[in-house]
Amino acid sequence: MKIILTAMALFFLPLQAHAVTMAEDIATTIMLRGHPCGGSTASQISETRDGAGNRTIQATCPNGKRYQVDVSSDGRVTVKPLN
Amino acid sequence: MFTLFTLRNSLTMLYMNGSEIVSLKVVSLLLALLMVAGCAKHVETSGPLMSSSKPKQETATSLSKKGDEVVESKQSDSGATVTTSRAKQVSKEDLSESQDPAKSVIKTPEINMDELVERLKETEAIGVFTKLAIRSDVLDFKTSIDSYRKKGELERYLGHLRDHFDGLLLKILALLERDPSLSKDIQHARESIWRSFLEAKS
Repeated sequence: MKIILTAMALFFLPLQAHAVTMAEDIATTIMLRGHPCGGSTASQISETRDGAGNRTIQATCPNGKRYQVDVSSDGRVTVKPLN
Repeated sequence: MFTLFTLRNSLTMLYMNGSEIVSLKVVSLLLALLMVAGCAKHVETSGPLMSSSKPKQETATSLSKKGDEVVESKQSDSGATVTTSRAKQVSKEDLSESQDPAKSVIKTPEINMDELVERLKETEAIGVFTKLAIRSDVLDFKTSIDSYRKKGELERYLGHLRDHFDGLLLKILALLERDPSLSKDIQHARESIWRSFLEAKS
């Protein structure tokens, strides 16, 4: 009975749109800048910040290419391939 | 109708002399079909559907308003014009509706650009870095419009800028797949956004 109720509850739960993960966000940004990524989720993400507020994110796309996403302190985004 | 019966009888008499009984049956059948068709046509022209030809008698009817009186003019087939006038109480509401153009225009929902921008900032359908990338694109687009304006070439490159704008909006709409409400509102506000870009001066 418990199993049936749980299954019914899961079935009738509204499908909520989950917030975008950082891996998805990075992959989308790379693709938005016109670079091939081969999928919608990046991996091996590393982030560094400098004293001026600039952020540097390095990530690997599903196609194996590694990119660097630079976000300046005023919010400008640039993407450059690393390999 | 009578002609058809006569034709049938005369043909029957003609074939009775010969031995072509089968041919006679075929011809009789054909004639019966013709009669049915003739009857159907007769019913069509003289039956209740005749009322549909009524407008032929009254070819034109016109209404004109003279003060509080309504003058109704009817022109018959004979060409005579029958004019009848009757008093009509024209309510103030009717007059106000017909004279107020603001009421007759279909109201379009007002688009609040600031609200749209705020919703775009707040939506969870797009990540932070993607939002920043879009912002960069929009700022670049705005800069290019301003530079064309400064050179006095805005009109010349308007088509090119519009294409750029459409591409940019298409990107945003594609990214807003998980927020269909905002996507729809931005789609509706497309022209307003375009105008606001052209009006904005840095």
